[in-house]
Amino acid sequence: MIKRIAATLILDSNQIINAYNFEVHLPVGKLKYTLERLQEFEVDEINILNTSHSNSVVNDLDKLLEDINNWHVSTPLAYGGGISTLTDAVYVIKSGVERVIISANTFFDFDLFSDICRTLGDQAIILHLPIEFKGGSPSIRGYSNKLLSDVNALIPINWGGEIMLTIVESDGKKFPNWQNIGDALGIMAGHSNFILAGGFADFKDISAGLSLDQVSAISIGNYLHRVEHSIIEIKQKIKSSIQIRR
Amino acid sequence: MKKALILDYKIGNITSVGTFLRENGYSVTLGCETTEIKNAELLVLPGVGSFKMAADNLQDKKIIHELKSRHLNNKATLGICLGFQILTKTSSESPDSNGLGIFNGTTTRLKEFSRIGWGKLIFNQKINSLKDHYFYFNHSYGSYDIIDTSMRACSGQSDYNALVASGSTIGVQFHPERSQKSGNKFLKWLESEVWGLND
Repeated sequence: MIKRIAATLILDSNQIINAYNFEVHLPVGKLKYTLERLQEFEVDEINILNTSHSNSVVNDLDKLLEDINNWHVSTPLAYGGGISTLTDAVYVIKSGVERVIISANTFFDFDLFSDICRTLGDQAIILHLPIEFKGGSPSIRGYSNKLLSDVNALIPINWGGEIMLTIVESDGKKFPNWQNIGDALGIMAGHSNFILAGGFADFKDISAGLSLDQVSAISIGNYLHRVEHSIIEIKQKIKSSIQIRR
Repeated sequence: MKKALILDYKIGNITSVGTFLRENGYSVTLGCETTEIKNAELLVLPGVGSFKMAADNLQDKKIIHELKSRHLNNKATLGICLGFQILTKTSSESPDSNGLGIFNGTTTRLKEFSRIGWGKLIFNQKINSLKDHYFYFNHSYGSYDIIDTSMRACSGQSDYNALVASGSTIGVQFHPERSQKSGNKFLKWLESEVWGLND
């Protein structure tokens, strides 16, 4: 399979925001214009992470998808934010999104996670793992007692979904932490279905990330909003060394 | 204006398929009545979900005979992803459920567990107009053993069927509705080269 360049769009109250270390949020603009631009530039997929979720995935999603359908988005979409039940996950897929992004919190209810995979099919799932490196072994952000190695042990080797791996300290930065990425991928050496995110803002780093055997895609966040024509530019620069869609 | 019926058998991606068809000049209705199926200029079987759910819903709605008749009468029909798989005889995903059996083959778990991303089509005949186009795939089941059809295509290094054509019934494992401009190109190609549908 050829490698993919995806966009991560973080939403807060229907506004796209820049995120830094998962904490500081700066508004960028309206979703509509960014979607139009990304589609025109033929980004390979769009991962929407909604941080503004109320208590209802249905309410959050209805308006969003109504807009997306009105804007004729024909780019593959994944959606995450507030998905905490099987009903939520099914609703997202039935609304016309290709994949649901499942948080670590939902994953830790492993029976629920298994139910979602069984109902929707593994391919419809992106498991989002934000990884922190504080004091030795990498753990899941917000769960210092949940080590990456524990998570790895739970995921079946023949699982057909993808894992979005974000190194928290690189989030919003202009460079990835290769040491930490290497350590995390090493711990999860049995899996080969990673979307890397966090700190990818330079075509050399994007190219290096896509060169890794375990990595199927790089998802770019803040950089997309800072640089006009960024997707086109990145694809132009890496197409000779990496097999991508162009 | 061309008219399309999206088969409403309670399986996902109806909205995105509807948007795709409208953008390509179709008036679109949702339905699953036998008369609607019989009279539709183009019938689309969408699909995201499980084989069992799809098979049970077709059974419950009592439309299996009409769908098979449509194939025998050579009417334009497009099955997308699960909508393609349900056109086969059975699936290992749900061994007790029966598909429509319009394609003489079965659906099984992919050797590579799943396939997510973009790929080109490699046809068993020369189709120049699509050779440079990438299409979006997202599935973990597929069919390897359908061989007795007029036209087939695989994708990349994977040897399952990415596309199968039997008369005017087309099954595609990829999602034209999420393949950006290539999806539009593909639909135009079906209209002119396979179905003979005119505006």
